[in-house]
Amino acid sequence: MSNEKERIEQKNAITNIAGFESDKFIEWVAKNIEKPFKEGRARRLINNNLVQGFLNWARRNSLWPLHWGIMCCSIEMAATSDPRYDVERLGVIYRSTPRQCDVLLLNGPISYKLRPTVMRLYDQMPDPKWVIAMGECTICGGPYYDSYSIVKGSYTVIPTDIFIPGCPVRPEALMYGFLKLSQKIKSEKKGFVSTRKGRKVSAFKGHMAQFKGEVTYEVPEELR
Amino acid sequence: MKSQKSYDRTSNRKKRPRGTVVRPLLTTLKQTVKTTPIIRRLVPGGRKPVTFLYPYEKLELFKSYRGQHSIDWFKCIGCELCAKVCPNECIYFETIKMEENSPYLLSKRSKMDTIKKQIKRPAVDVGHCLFCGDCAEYCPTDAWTFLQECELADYTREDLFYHSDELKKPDELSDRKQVLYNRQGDEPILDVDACIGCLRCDRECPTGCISMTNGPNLRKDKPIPIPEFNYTVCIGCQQCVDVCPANCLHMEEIHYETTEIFYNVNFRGETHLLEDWVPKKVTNLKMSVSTPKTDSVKTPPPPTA
Repeated sequence: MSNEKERIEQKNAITNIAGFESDKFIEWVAKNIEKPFKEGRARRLINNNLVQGFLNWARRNSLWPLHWGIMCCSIEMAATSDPRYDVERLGVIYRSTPRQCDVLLLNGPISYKLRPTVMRLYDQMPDPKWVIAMGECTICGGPYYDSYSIVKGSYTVIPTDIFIPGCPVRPEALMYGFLKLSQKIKSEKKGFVSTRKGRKVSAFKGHMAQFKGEVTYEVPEELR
Repeated sequence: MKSQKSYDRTSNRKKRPRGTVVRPLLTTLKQTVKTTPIIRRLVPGGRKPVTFLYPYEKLELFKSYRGQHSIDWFKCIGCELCAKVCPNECIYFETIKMEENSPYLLSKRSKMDTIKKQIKRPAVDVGHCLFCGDCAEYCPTDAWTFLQECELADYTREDLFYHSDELKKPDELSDRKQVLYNRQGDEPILDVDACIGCLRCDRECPTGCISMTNGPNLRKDKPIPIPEFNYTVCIGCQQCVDVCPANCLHMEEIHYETTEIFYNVNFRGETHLLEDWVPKKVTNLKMSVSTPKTDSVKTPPPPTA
């Protein structure tokens, strides 16, 4: 009888996940999902070279950005998904919630009032996540570089991976940015990736090293 | 193309609009048949697909598109007019040491640079650039050009700063034609009594349009030298005004070299050649030392009032 009772309780515990309180839910996730992944057979299976390669291939071919427009560059963002520049060929599908996204596409000046929202959106995204700064307003403030209310660059708020200059950027340029991001994800195993000028920089997401008191993306010589 | 029955709410039974599954399938099928290579010639309304496949084929951009900057080092004289005009202040000038017989050292340069054997060439922070094209528009020597290259995405912020040698146009592509044209419209004017005769404007002028002459004022029984401007050569780069320690120079619109193109349209709709207004303006000037040439003006009308 006691065994049957326990079994029923366990069954109920699994079925009533939605009815849990948040603390209890986190406990349940840590026990039933995270633990077998961190230690055990699943961990070994995922660390396998072949599986990692497959996961990398899947990640770089399905970059789902957040469908979120700040200012005028969002018009170009819309233009990339139209039939002429059909960006869904490259696996870029716009999603309307940060919980289904891999890429945070920032298109426009980030005001100090918007900054907490950007940080919150970044936190809400699941972990393999990248950030694209689109247009000069996002890169460094642009024409509002001496304004009192605009953040001087998205990289001061959240670690940014791709910078696309232009005012506004062309749809081709945005697609080129997405392709560059997929290139970066591809060379994650190597550890570094070379820029347009031929400088080698880190390929890890949002990786910023600190040299000479300045925050840069440069790879230390030990890692090369 | 909504079916009427789906909006019929008289009956209690829930009805799905007709054709939610079949009709979209049919439309996509139609499009595929219309755009397949061989069949589209036989089917009425057949056409090529609209999509262009970006990484494999590239769209030819129009010629006036402003992408990557490129600067002709043979033409540029280092007047820093582009840096003054830039609304974002993203153009910086770099001084480069040159050898004695370098082809970039031309006669039309500032005397200061000839002495030091150096040239000044612009560098651009592309991550800050507005791509408005003001630098190319105001350039007096046509050294600025924009390429049709729009793919400038990069991994870091530092790499978006392009140094002067990275923006250099290849030597084979430049036609090395020397042009000087005042697109600013303003020209420097001297206040003679304030001038101290330090010759700094003469040394800094990139075109060599300044020649020093004896002024009316005396210092220790000797005349103070004052600059005399050759307005046919001057490009209005304000370099002399910036350098002047006594603030005796200021910029003012005097005349155009050829005014035949310009018209002045007032609110009544009457059009006047701008040429007609120039002589009036010249006669009103009192501060100018050397009056500009008025040879090109044809038969000025009598001044009214």
